[in-house]
Amino acid sequence: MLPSPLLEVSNLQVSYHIRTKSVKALRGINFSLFENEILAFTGESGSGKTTAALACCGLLPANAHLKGSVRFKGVDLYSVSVKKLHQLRGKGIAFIFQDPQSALNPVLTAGKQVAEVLHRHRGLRGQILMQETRKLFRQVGLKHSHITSYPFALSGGECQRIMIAAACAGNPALLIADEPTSNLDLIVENEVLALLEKLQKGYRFSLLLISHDLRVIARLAQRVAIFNSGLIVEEGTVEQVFKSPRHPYAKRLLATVLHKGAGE
Amino acid sequence: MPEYYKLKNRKILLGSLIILLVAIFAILLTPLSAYSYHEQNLEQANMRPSAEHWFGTDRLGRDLFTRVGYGTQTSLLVAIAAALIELTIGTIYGTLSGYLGGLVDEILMRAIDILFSIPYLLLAILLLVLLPPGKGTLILAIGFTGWPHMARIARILVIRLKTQDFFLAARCYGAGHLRLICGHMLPQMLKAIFSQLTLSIPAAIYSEAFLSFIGLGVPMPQASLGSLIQEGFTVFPLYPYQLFYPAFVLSLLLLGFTFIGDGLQSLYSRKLLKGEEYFAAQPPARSFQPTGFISYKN
Ligand SMILES: Nc1ncnc2c1ncn2[C@@H]1O[C@H](COP(=O)(O)OP(=O)(O)O)[C@@H](O)[C@H]1O
Ligand SMILES: [Mg+2]
Repeated sequence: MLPSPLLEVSNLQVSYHIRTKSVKALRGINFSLFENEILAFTGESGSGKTTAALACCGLLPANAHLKGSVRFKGVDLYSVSVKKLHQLRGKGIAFIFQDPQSALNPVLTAGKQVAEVLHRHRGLRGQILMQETRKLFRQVGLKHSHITSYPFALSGGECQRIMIAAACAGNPALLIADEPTSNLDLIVENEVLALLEKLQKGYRFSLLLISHDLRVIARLAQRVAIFNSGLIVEEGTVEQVFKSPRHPYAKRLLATVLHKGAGE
Repeated sequence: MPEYYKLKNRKILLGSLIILLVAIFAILLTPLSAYSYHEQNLEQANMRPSAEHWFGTDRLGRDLFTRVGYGTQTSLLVAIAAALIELTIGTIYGTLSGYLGGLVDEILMRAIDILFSIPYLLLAILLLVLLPPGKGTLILAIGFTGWPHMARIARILVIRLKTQDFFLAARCYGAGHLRLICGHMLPQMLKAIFSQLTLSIPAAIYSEAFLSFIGLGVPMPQASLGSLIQEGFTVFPLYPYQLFYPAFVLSLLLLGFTFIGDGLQSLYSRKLLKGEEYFAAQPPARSFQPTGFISYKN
């Protein structure tokens, strides 16, 4: 028997309502994520990956309507009270966004933003809070001088490290990273990925990684799900899917990458 | 610093200087005068400006220098207090509306539309007629009719902030509503709110002057710039200086505040400082000119 999954999504349908029209972003997807596992989402833009990720932590915008169920630690996120949802999400789930600069509050220093999470989740204050903040900054490879910097004075890579520090501060069970490196250059991308890998081993959280880059997925993830127009068209271990894709869309997607690789 | 910003800063500096001078006149110099604002001396009625009475005297022989200084105090007090009321009500109302969204937002905004459709002046006059005359009533009347602009600005700011990633991130980490609003939103709204304040104050000064001019201001023998202008206006052909001094001070105040407001507005709407791109796409603040003048609007 398999252990029960940390995150279990079944028949999830999401549509966005804009005035009188409605757009189906997800048309019934199923997947589960186990503890200490890395699952990757890939697929073309607009296929619903971000929507799925936001639905997993109850952060969908107000114009989204949702059907189906999302179970986190066995609790259905959409049938519990708002308060309980806040608790579950705050303690258990962290989110890293694509654009790190806009994901940080521009009027708070980097240190404050990390410290705020530490304070809320672990009740730390004063000297100990400072120490823990410094420790986290060290862990994500930032200098102590960055603690008092404002986001606009930091590079994209540094901002993403701060987001990662804030995420780890809450010691989450699940980390969702939505294209965390697509705004970064290759070298910084590599560093940030290595950092995520290292922290995942250290903190032992489950990672839901959204990426366009199949090399990134091959390097980090154990399982991969391929999205196409609101459906998961193929899901399996990375080896399985990459070696012998079954769905025509997955075949085409992999072929484009291989083609590019051969041409280079 | 680019030439353009220097110019803007000079505008703010000049505006501040004008306000400072008027404030020194009203707050520091007036109490030093040998006369009081209500002391009558009919023998010395309608005296032209002289060494004894710098601005001359009015038809009851009261020293105009003292009265204009005192009236400036009244006008400034009423305008600043009214602008602060506008700011408080508007910010709270707009923030709640934008933050809660959905049906609540819709209802709150339609309520504002209705308020907007009632002539501003009518509403103010209604309040002034219902309440006993005085500074407090003026403050309430101007403050309670002027806040919808601020509410709209606050609402737009909140809606913009609400969909930003850092706000989702803060929500994700479990920040409560109060923390989200006060800790993450308000600090970023402060600059826009403040620069709106510098436009609300001259609008309120003008409203006060207008209401006083049509006889709804502070009761006699108290004075405000508006009531002084009104008194001066009645004797204008004979004693033009009685109109000139209060009108001159009123113009200085309006000019000074408008300079500051204008300068700040341009500073924030152009990304002067790196990292303040946030303020680039903010909604244009209510411009003082057309809507601020209640007499034009209705
Ligand atoms: N807030 C929204 N309002 C309306 N439609 C949206 C919104 N967010 C996403 N969509 C639509 O939902 C679909 C899926 O988007 P998304 O989940 O962002 O895809 P991906 O992350 O895979 O690029 C797209 O067609 C997009 O236009
Ligand atoms: Mg996306």
